[in-house]
Amino acid sequence: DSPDDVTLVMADSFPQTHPLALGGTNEMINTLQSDEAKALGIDLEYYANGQLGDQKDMVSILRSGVADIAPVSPAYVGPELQLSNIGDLPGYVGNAHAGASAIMDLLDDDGILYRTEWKPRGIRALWAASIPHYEAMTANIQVTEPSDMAGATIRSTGGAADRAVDFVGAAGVSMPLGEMYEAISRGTVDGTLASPVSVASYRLGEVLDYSTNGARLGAFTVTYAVSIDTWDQLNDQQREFITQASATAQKGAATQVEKAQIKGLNQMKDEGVEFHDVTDEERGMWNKMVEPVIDGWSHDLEERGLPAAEVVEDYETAIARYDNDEPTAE
Amino acid sequence: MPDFTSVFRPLTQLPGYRSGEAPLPLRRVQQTITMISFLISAVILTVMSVLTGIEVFMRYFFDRPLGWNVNFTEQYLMVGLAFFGVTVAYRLAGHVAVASIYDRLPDRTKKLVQLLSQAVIITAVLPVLVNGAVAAGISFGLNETPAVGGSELPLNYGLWKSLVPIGSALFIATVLIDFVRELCSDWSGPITDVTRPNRQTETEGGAL
Amino acid sequence: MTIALILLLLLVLIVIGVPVSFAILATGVVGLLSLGGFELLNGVSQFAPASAVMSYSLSAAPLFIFMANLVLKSGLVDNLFTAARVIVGRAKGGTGVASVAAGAIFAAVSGSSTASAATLGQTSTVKMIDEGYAPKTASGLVAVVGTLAAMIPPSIILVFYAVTADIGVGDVLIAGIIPGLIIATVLIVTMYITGLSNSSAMPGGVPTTMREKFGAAVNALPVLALFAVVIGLVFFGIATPTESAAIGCIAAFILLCIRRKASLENLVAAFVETTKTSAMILAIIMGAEIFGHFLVETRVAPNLVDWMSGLPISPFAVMLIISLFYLILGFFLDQIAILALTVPVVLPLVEQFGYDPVWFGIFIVLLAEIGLVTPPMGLNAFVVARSAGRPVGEVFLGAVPYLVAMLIVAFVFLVWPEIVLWFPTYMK
Ligand code: NA
Ligand code: NA
Repeated sequence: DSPDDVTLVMADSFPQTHPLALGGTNEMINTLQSDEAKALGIDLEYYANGQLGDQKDMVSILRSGVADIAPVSPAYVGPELQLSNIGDLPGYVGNAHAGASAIMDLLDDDGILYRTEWKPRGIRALWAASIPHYEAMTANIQVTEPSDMAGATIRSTGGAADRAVDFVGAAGVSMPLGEMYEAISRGTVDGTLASPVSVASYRLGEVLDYSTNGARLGAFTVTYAVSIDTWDQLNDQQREFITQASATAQKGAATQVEKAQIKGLNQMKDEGVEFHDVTDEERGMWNKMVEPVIDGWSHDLEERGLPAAEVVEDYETAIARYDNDEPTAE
Repeated sequence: MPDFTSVFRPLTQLPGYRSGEAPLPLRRVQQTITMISFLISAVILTVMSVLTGIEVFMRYFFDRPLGWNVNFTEQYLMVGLAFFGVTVAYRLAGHVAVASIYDRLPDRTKKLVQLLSQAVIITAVLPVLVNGAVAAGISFGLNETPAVGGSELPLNYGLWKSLVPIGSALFIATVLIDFVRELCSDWSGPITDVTRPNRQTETEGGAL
Repeated sequence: MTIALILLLLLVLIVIGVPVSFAILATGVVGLLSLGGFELLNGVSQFAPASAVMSYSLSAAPLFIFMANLVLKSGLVDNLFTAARVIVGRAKGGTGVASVAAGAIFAAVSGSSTASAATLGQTSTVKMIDEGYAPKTASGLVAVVGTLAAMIPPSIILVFYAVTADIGVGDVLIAGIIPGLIIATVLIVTMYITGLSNSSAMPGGVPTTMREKFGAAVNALPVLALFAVVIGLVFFGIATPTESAAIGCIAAFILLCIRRKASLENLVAAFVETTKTSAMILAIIMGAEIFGHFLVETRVAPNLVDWMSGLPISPFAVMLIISLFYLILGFFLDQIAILALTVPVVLPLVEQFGYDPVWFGIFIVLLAEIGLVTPPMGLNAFVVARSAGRPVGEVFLGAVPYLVAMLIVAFVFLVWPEIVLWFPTYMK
């Protein structure tokens, strides 16, 4: 045993069949458990399926040293990482690659999110995944413009997504996707803002009738984060190795997410969902909805003394650096 | 004006609790803690039923679910019931325990086992108290508050997290008083008998 | 090795009388310390205790307990046994049948089998003995009938199982109806079979007129109506179990007011009982969460799954071993504690064998409930013994034929899981 030998404890909450696991997490686990890792004194203990804790506990789990690496989703830890919700706001993320890269720019050592929210909690991001393409998916009512959702009961993922639901005059309910099939078929809920990736895996297309395509109503951001205490204990080679593995994971996850996106879209079509493609003329109408949502978000957080305006500015600069086009389906 | 002594009899006449032997101030502290914990628990149960009822009503008749009630129930009501109720259950010997072997022990041994049992409870809950306080402190310190307009009430997370150390502290104080009383009393046998649900506390609510 | 020592510690603490919840918590604390020192213990203690109870689905448990306590205070269940006895009439073994029927109706509003045993022990056991039933039959039967409350919804332990197994609470609750009715029927049949050898020990009931029977049925109506509302809301998908439990509490409170029993004294008593029982359960859940973190980090669950599925025996044989394991645990441990400690470890294995998690919940609750009527921890037996003024040994002995019958039912469920699973498929 050399003094630099380290066993990293990794918590996970996503199933190992999730696109971000297929492209990213699984790859990272393999790399960190490889002989090459062992030669550098790195070993990894992996605990799947929320065994070490719920999504909402992940910041605590890292900060308190229960795990060294864990998935942190700002949407699930809203009060702890309020500004980091920026990546989930509507109107921004066009594809998974751009979404992941842009949020990571704000999470590096001089990034504003790292400085204001992550460092004080003793955590830093290794890599990110963004699941974009949130669309308005409904049963019975077809949504072709934001106002169509007024008065409807729409499931929202919590966090920043609540704002979009609220803004169009819909009633937001928070419930796990797993309960949506039942809720839609009973009529308890009229629809959801969600991405085809997740909707397809719950076969919600069977009970949904309509969906927008290209409305860009938000995203879901996950980062795999490491505790700063652990990070500081690693030697330079170990850090370099993990950084490399993380970059590979991020790229792989984004590729798989986009693949799953197209697959999910097609599955929903097969299940009988009618898609309304957002046209160039209609885009302005959706953007009009998005602007006040972002402004409201920024305003509320500024009132709490958080530098939200700066985060918006930095994030818009970051996302402009990448190819943010929507992938063309089919 | 209801007769409060008889109304609260279930709380004041505790199984196996020989109050006459306890010094008055300690006894009063224990009774006060139990009463406060009980009143908070009763309020929680009332709010839990009514709030959930309102949620169904609003959703079914007005298509306007409250939304915030889910997190409120989880964070404040469930955590509150767990951490304040624990003292009530302890004082009513409501925590299930195996008494068959304890009952057959000689009195002197019973006393040692009783002291050990109380010490185990205090030691086991202490980390929950301390770290619960740390967690609440972090939430207050970093101003961890849900966003306005979301599905949660914009109250600092430190508020509900505080229920953990406060409830634990009241509970530890209650058990500690029993422990100290036991320690300072005659060593020929135990004076507290708090964990004997098999024979003493199987009333309507009983175990499962 | 660590895990064996830790389990031994758990056993010792429980045996010397440390409350089960704190024994589990203390053992979990020691386990975490041994694995990762204070860093791990402090880390887990920061979020795990609260996280364990922060579940909206789980809030159905205190609400159902509250509902049952309000119904008890309304006095509506006091006469259930008398009403059932009038309805059954003069049939041979009528009072025994009435005890089971009253137990089943009581179960429809109460989620606690011990509460059921306490209520029935005072009335039906005493009456049966008066009428000439063998005392051991009378007390043994009633102690077993109590366990129906854990199977027929609402059931606290089934709510807890569903939350632990991360499956729909409604599915599990609805799945309990048919097994509950099957068990009730089997108990009656068993009573007749045991009565064959000595028919003088099973006298006829009292003859009653149709008018009397009708009047008695009306008495049981409010309780059945409450059951219909609470379970109907879940079955037809109008409300979640948590929501229907809350509606049940409000309805029970209205019943209390209508019957002019909503005195401060009754309310305080209902609050006290509810707080006591709920907090006891929540304490076990919190202790088990800490202990569970220790178990996870020892990797005992995946190792056990690998080992068991690699054994050269059939899945059915493994299931028999698991059944035996639950049966034995039921003798010594509280039912909630059994589920909290074992379900995360055992369920993955059972699912790997292709068994449905809803079925497994019904199955292990049936097995664990048997422990409530067996020595040394058989709480129901103690309760009936005390409330009917009979020796505990007599209750244990009298329960034996019914326990054998329940074991046969469990075996049938194991061979034909569809018996448990067909009904929930009609749920909306
Ligand atoms: Na469809
Ligand atoms: Na029941």
